[in-house]
Amino acid sequence: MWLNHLTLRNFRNYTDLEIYFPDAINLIVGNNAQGKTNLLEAIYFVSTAKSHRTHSNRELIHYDSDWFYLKAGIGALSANLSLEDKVQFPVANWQQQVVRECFPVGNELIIEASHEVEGQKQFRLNGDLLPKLSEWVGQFRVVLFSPESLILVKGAPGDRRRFLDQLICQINPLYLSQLQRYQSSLRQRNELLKQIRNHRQSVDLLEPWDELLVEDGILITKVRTQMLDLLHQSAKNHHAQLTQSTEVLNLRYCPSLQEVETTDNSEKEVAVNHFRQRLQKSRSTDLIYGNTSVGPHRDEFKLFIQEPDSNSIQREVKLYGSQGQQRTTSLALKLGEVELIHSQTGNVPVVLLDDVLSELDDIRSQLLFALFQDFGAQLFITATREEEWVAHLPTNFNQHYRLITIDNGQIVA
Amino acid sequence: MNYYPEAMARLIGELQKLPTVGPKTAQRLAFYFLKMSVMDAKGIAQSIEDVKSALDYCTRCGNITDTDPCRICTDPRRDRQLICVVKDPDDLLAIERTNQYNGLYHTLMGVLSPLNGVGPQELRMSGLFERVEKDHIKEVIIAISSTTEGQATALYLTRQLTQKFTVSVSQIAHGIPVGGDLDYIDELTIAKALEGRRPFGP
Ligand SMILES: Nc1ncnc2c1ncn2[C@@H]1O[C@H](COP(=O)(O)OP(=O)(O)OP(=O)(O)O)[C@@H](O)[C@H]1O
Ligand SMILES: [Mg+2]
Ligand SMILES: [Zn+2]
Repeated sequence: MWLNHLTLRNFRNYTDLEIYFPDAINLIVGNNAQGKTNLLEAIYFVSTAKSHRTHSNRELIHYDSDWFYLKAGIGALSANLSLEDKVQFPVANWQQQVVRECFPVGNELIIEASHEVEGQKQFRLNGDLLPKLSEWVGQFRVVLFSPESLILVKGAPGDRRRFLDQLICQINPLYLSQLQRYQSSLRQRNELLKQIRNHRQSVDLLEPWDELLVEDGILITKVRTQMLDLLHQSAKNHHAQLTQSTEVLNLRYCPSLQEVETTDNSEKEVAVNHFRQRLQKSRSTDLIYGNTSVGPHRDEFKLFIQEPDSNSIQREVKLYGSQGQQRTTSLALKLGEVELIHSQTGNVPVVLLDDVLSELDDIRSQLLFALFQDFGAQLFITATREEEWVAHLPTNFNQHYRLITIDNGQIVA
Repeated sequence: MNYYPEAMARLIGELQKLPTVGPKTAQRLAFYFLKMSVMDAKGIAQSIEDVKSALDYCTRCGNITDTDPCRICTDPRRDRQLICVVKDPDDLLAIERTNQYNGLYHTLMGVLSPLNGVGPQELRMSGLFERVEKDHIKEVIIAISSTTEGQATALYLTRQLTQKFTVSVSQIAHGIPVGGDLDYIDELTIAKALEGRRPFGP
């Protein structure tokens, strides 16, 4: 995927900016609080319909305004350029070729997002209003690395669950409607539990909601099982490269229900019965708490590292990992995200790196950039000064990059 | 709102009672009415009044009607042992328009939703059970959209009907997109869905 251009109006501290991105590597520099993260946030919003750092869309609107508007032109990076093609062409030429080949003028995808203080978010795809979020997500795929990525390791189970869900949504947008259905049934059931507890409804009303939870919950568990398996493989490989095979990373899915590996009819039936029984069993406590205690909304996955010797003990990174080990682990997960989006959709996501240069020691940054060279992703990187970036470049890294200097919501160079 | 003359402020307030109409739209509409000719404005007011005084819900099926029971309920050419259960009169009309269905209807006037405080008592369910029993209904088709609320309602109804009566219950097969509302869907899809209805259960 390629972000050709972006327009920001009244978004954070940008009142009006239109900018083109013909280059693969975009280095965004500027002093603190000038709008570097805000620019990445805009790109992220266009992709995911939300901000990576706030739940309140209101905060995204410029202080002096009551609406914001974003517009992005997206091209698909051709997947059939092989590694040899890349070696043959000097990078600058190679990119121009990509630009010509992939986005003939007027043939790009136009995404617009807007939000008014007293209104709802609106999304348009090539001018058409999209009523459903699930039609939107997955059109333009982005992966963000930021210091907050560390919560993938250190955060609560819900943080890892959301990461996994979001990854699946980028790959399979239908999953989002599945998830929304499940969550809607869950909210209804929880409310009903309270009404039954207060003798306002009868208990036989639970049954249909249980059925819906089972039906959607099993599909969710199945998709998560499959995706976690792929993520495990990929993150494990990247982790081995990052640590030069001195450590082994393992991901373990801890579903609230049994794992569902196929939808083979007999296995599905087992899973259905299992979930039904669990709901039955927990019903009396659920009624006391007014809350559903089993189901995929309680899933999580755990991260373990061990020494290469397969007999050595696995230790949970969250509890025992050093700062460095935790960072490497979150990096491996993020690289896994890039790789899975690529392998499952054929599209290389646009990669955003906010404030991560300073966090990586030399070897990791070399590996990181080597990996991006392999993927050929379009990169947006923030740094306070150009030297900070140069200091982290591998010695053999001679790719052209574009310097974008930001000062108080404006591009000054 | 107090910068408006009293009559204007009242109109804006009334218009805001309409679905999807917020303060801004209400203002725009009010100014539009103001600019209209007296005749046009009276025409609108009159037709709203007519609807309210001349039309009502059919006490049997819940359809909108000017006679009670409605023309569908009294139509002798219809299959009187077949009932199609729908959410509201809008959905009933959507099915009528397909010309594919020749039975009677029953509208629930909503779907189950604990979050909106809607339980079986708030819906026209007992009326349905009465009809099934008294009129010796042989088959009930449930044609409720596939939102979670719609599905829960369909599941609940099916369970109740099959436990209480010897009646065959089926649900229209959902060629209907997930989360779709019946009245947005073109007639062909509904016609197909009616043909492909399948019995409930395992
Ligand atoms: N809704 C808004 N309207 C106007 N300005 C805003 C809004 N939200 C944030 N800002 C301003 O944006 C600036 C922060 O921008 P941003 O987070 O992009 O900084 P940065 O360039 O990434 O800095 P750092 O190097 O410290 O990370 C602050 O000055 C803040 O006041
Ligand atoms: Mg920043
Ligand atoms: Zn009637």
